[in-house]
Amino acid sequence: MDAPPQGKPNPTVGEGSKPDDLPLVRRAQAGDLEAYDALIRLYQERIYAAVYHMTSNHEDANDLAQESFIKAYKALPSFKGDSSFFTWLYRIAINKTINFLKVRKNRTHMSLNDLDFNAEHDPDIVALVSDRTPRRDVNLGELQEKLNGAMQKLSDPHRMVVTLHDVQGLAHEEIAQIMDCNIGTVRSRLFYARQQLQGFLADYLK
Amino acid sequence: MDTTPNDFEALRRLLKLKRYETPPPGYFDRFPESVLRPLRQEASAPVPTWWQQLLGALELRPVFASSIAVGAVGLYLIGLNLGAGGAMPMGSLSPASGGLTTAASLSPLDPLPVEHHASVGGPRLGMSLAATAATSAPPPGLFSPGGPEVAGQRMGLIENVSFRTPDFR
Repeated sequence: MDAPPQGKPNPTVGEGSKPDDLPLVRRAQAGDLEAYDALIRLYQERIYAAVYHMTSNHEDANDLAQESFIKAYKALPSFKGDSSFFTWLYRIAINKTINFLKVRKNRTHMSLNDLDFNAEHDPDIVALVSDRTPRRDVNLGELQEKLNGAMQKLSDPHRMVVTLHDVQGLAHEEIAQIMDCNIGTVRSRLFYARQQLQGFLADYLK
Repeated sequence: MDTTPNDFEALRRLLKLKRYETPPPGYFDRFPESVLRPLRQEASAPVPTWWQQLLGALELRPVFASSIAVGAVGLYLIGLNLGAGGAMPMGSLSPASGGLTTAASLSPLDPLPVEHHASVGGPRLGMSLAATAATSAPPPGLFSPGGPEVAGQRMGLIENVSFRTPDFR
């Protein structure tokens, strides 16, 4: 099994950790909006990022993330704590996103966020645009666009496992819970998705 | 299936680029409010009365609303039909108009307004109560002590009457 990627600290990376959010969840279940505010602040970046990487569109990600949190609040009475709140919330957001993508189908309109300036200083990223890269004229903006274009060519389940594991750093077990499938399925999807991406992005990989 | 990290190392480094895609500055400061605002509005909205809930349900279920409307119109038509075909208008139900005559409204000198109607199921609406009483009287002998079935047994109760014939001799 692959270990979750160890990159620089980044708020959009899940790392698979779950803080003790149960007291906040219980208060929110009783109608305490301040507690729910705290839960939103705890998970908003990860939920937004998951949806954004699935859609490659900031406006869609904004709408879907908002709707997911609103739906989660209304569904809180049905949350029994069988899974972690984090997993439960993720599942709501992912299901909402998949339904949205089914309606949207292939009408992909990318609206990409700007790259954080720290990207230019990341050694892994710098290596990609170094002399050893076959496409020497590439810049980060173009690379970002090609990468998102290749992601959008994947099927929704394959894009999801790549997003959750390789981009967000969730463990296979967590992804299996979120996607309601077994770990073997997650691994095989991940392998196939990576193969596909490697083919799409061959010019940009050394 | 070999999924060792080395197979896709370059790809994974490239995918790392996506972690640096961040929304506009301040986005996550405003985001919680965009979620909480509609939730607060819903929470502070007045609880709808039963009448508003009914109207809301009718708006959502046009078939249900249509069936209620058809039912109401049907009831109205039935009422209209009954009023025109059988019952007399309400204005004619006063004693002065002669429509409805009760025993209490009659003076002792008034003759009983017996009316005869060829009704099958009973007295028609608008028939006077007196006439109703006259036409709906039980058959003769039904409640009299000397009914046909007991006539023989009752014979003993009849006093013997002796007649004296005048003697003209």
